[in-house]
Amino acid sequence: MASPEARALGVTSGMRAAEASGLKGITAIHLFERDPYADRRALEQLAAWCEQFSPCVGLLGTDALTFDIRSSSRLFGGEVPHLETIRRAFRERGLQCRLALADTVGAAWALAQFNRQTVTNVAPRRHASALETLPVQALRLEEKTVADLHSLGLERIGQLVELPREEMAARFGDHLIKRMDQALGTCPEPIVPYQPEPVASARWTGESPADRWELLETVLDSLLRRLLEQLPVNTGIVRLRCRLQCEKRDPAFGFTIGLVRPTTQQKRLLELIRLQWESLRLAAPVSGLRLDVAETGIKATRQNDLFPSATRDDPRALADLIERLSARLGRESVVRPRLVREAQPELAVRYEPVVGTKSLAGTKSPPKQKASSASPQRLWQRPIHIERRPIPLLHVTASFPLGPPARFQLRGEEHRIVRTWGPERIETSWWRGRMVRRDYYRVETSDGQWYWLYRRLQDGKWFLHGRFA
Amino acid sequence: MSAVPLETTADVWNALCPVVDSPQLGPRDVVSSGCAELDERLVRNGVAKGALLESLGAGDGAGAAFLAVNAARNALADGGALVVVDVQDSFYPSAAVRFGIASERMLIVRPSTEREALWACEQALRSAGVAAVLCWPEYLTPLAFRRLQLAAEEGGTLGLLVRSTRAQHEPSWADVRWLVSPAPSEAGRRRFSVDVLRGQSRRDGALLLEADDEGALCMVSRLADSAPAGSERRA
Repeated sequence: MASPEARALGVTSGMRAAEASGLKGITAIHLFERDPYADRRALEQLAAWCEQFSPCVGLLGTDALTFDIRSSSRLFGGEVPHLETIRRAFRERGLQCRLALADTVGAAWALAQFNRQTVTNVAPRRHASALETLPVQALRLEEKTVADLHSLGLERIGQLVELPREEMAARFGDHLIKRMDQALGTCPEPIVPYQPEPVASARWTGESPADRWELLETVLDSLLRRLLEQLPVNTGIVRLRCRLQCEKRDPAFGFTIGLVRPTTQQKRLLELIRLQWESLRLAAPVSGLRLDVAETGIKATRQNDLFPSATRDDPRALADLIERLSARLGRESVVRPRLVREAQPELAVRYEPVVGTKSLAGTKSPPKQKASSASPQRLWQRPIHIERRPIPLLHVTASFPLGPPARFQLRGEEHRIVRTWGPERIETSWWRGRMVRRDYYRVETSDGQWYWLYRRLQDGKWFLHGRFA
Repeated sequence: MSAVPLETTADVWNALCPVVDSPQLGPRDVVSSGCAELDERLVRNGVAKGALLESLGAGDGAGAAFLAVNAARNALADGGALVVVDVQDSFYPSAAVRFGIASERMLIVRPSTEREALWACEQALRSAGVAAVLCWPEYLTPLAFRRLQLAAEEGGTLGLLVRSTRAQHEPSWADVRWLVSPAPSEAGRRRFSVDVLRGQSRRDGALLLEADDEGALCMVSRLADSAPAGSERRA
């Protein structure tokens, strides 16, 4: 790996020291021993930082991180913007990364390692064909297996897929078959979330398993008391992980409770755990329980304004509500919008979870925004409803080439456009190898409905993006 | 409430569960619809806090949500948060910000089922920290509807239910139910007619309203009404 400064002098990764010392502008070379322990620590720290992108971040090998982004992508406006956000964040941190999104951990790893692109995005169920042309090393094999395969002229994954399984297993071992199945998705490979050392933890193993809330409540009560005793003065819990071990159920599973503001109230924590418990509907009694404090914050002496404003504000009531909603519906389902400077409408709003976040939980209040930063004339420029995936429109006719639309069809219904406003041209810079270029029109149909349409400038195709409901 | 002929089952229901009278409401307990003429049409000269408003839209680009967001903005004038319960995951906050609702006062809740959405609405309506709850419940049983109304009453919160015209013939526990139908725009200004179906001070025709570029509403004319159009229009 070479930094931009080093690259500017001609240093490339994999270069020998002797070669580098011959380059112009290089006066001295200091060599550092590779330190696997330090590398691991750095990767762990990176994983903790990456929890902002996904609720489930795992470590893979010595140099890869895995994210489960199924549930979190909509916070970022979809998978593509999500990848872009991650890429940018790494770049801003001064790190190079290669990202790949695929249906399986194995395929994503293979593509990130061997597809020489910064971002690879494989459409759902297309990962098998994406793997075909990659070298066999991309299956995470031992060096010996790779050498054996090479000696038989087997270099690409596509070649292996065609071979009979039994024979391959006999010849190269089960490990190869397992890796192939993991990459193709026939054998599941869950992401094991990396979890930093908890600040405090407490556990319970029951001789008689608890099958009713009343029994569990007593246990939780004493566990929470023990946890809170471990915390330093003035510190409260922001995120609490609960791991449950059920009888006849393996492995343990769990959930996380998030808070808006650091708390030491046992009753409150118990109530939030109960909300989760109710939605779990456990089939078997609980035989083991473990509570970890994953994040803490300094308790504010003064109530900070979560939602700044006048008389009706009751920050405590609102925090209570947010914590209850987040506990029951999940942290990612209770969010606050933040407008950012982005031309592309899908990316112009970020959604931020409110609980379990250190920055929000701390004493500083969120940056104040002007109530209405947009000029009033632009009120009607954005619709109340937006389609997460713009709907392709067929049979759109324009009054003249590249002009505003005159009619369109939606769900088989013909709409005649009587008035249009626009176009508002939206262009973005480099984006997954191509630009986003759109001409937006606000249109009024003959029955008085207002819609938001755009023409994709690259190919002239039309999309419905919103409704002024 | 004046005598209304009972034509449909909904009328019967609506007559059976009338708007509850609580005379001690002061002006601070009432939220303006954003239009003086529309307010006049309503029993409380606006929409009471601690009650529900149903905004029915004829089509999904008609303006029913616009009127609800407008009421939400007015409800937020005294502080508190706006909770948006959005199962469809289609609410676009940029529009609401342009209406003058600061993004830091919005909380967006995205439950994955209608059932969870109703639960979330109830929780939010009960909260003293919330000024208004905006939601799109398509199917509401009378019982679920009643629970929302009780929650709004308990929390003193304004509940804004944006629904399609299909709900028109269903019973309502809302203080006010109005039907918004689109009308051709005039000089680039958006127009729609609003017909108050429930909670009106007198049985009258629909109002034709116009929204200017700042979202301010004014009445253009009374529709299907004996009074001459625009004769009582305020400057």
